[in-house]
Amino acid sequence: MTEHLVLGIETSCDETAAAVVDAAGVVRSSVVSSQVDLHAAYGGVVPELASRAHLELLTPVVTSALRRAGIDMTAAGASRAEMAVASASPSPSSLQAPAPPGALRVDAVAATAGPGLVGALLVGVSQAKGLALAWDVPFVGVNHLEGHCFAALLDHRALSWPLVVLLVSGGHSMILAMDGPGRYRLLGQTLDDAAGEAFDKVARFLGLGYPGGPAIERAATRGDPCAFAFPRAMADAGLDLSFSGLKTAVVNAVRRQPDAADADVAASFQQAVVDVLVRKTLRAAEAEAAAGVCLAGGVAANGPLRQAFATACAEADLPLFLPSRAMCTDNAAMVAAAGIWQLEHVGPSPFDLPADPSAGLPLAGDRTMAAAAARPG
Amino acid sequence: MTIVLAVESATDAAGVALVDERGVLAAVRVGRGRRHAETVAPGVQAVCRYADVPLARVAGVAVDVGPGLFTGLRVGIATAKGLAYGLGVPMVPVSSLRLLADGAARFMVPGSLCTVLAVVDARRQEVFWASYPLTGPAVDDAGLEASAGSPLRVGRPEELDAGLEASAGSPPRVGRPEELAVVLDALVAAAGALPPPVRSGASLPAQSGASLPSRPLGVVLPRVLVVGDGARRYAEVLRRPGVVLGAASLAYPSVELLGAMGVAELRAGRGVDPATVAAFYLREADARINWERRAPRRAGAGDHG
Repeated sequence: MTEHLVLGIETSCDETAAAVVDAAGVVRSSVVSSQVDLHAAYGGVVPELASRAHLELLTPVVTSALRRAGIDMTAAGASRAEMAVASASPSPSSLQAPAPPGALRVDAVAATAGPGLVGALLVGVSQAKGLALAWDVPFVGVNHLEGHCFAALLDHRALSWPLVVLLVSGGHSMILAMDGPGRYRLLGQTLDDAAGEAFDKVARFLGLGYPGGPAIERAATRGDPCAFAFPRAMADAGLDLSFSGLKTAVVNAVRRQPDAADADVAASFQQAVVDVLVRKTLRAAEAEAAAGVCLAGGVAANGPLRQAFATACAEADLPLFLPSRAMCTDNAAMVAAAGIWQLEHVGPSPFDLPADPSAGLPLAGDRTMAAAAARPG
Repeated sequence: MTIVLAVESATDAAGVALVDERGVLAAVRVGRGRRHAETVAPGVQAVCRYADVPLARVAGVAVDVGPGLFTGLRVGIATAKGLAYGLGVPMVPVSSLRLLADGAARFMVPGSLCTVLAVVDARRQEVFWASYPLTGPAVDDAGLEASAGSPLRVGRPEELDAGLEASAGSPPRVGRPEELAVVLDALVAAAGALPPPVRSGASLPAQSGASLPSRPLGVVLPRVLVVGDGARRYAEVLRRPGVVLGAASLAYPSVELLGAMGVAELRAGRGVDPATVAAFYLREADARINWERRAPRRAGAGDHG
């Protein structure tokens, strides 16, 4: 019990994931089962298919995460089940087979409660509640965006504050000031498409396949990033982002030059996105006198983006907290890590917690209210 | 005792119960609509508290696997799988339509004969349905039993075993209420070929379960009883001579009965591994249907959404 192991569960979109993380932030196991192949034929995530796959995959994924972490929560229970089936009335005392001495146990279960696809979220939240009730441990509903913010901290122990966080994924694009774990201020966000959404839409337009991020990155390796001068929207105005004009510019350019090489279009588009993200994030870091810059979210797995940030941060003499690619894309280790912090500082979630498909990142001010609600009396 | 935790969330209503051989220890039922994620897990805590039974004493988890409303259904199944896996106990998956039919059988007059049509509202102008030939509690009259196909027996847990055997009804289907009305006409016609319904009080066997409701003499029993929330929603389409539409008490799958079935199945050694329990959707996911319709225009499929 002294290990403080937390099982994290993530089912907000198209990855079914479970992980075990300890209180020191060490990832004991992290299992991600991707549904990409399931959705590829449709060119995007199909909510009902995702929800069905989560229900089918989650129990095996949890089993795998517990096994890899060396945890056996069911050893005592399994023999109990056999007894219950074999004998009509086992005595109550025989039901309480103790776990083997020294066995690792889960001390809490954390699950993404939002934002995300509601049907998909509900599978993870429901199964997490069931596991927490069965093991008699706390349940914690975690904000998916906050999970992404914790991902970088899993790979790099920090730190001085504030950090400026660029959170870019298929559903979100925002620049945050992180004054410490759990303390966020929104500095800027997209006014239209998310960065990952722009990658998906341009990839689909060019016929490069799904998901768009890796498809564009692959095609761009053979292309000229200067072939097209795509717009850098609001590059010098404020910290908000916009990608829909860029997407339109790509479409118009290709219509004007139908024989343009996909590789050149992809590389030029990617370069435009990277330029804007780097410029705005560094400007935010300067304004905040940030102690470092941190990348988070699936788009942060993009190679040229990572490279550009490495170069720019080195020039500006700013520490860069760059999660591994596996920690950028959706995973459950980040959910467990956020869950550990939340348990300690906000408290467990009630068992009637609903999924919140449009949950925002809890900003400064929201949190104290959440803490008051979670702690009766 | 074999204590079973039952979880049911296939329709607008959700329920949780703790049941053992003696009957229901505690049950919670919530009919406030599709917010099952907020009610199922607290329901588990509530029944354990009221019954003063810790989850550690539960020998198995019974769950309604549908057909029903997909999202609510998954809340119950995911919670039940988490509980069973976490406790290391087997599960008993039961169909919502079977639960509705067996729920109706509990209220039948001993020795009576009837076809029960279970109908779950599937939304989007469709219903899930299955029919089951039922008798009330068994009688010695061999002729009655033979004509009923494989009758369901109700009342005592050991009799529930028989109720779970496949009966000679129609398999579950999904379709428009108007399609169901055609099926219903056929069922009424077929029921007309059976011996006339028994009038209660005329030749009731003495051995039947004492707790069943008795009816006044001379009441003509229905040939086809239609139960479930789908029956109530589409009452105007389904109403016809020879058909009785079930009361509100028969509109939703019974979580108490689910628990009793769970006890019987576990005692018979028929619990299953939680990892194998899946939802019984009976309808393709939306996207797949759309895709199949789009297939001929495959070249342009990338433009949708």
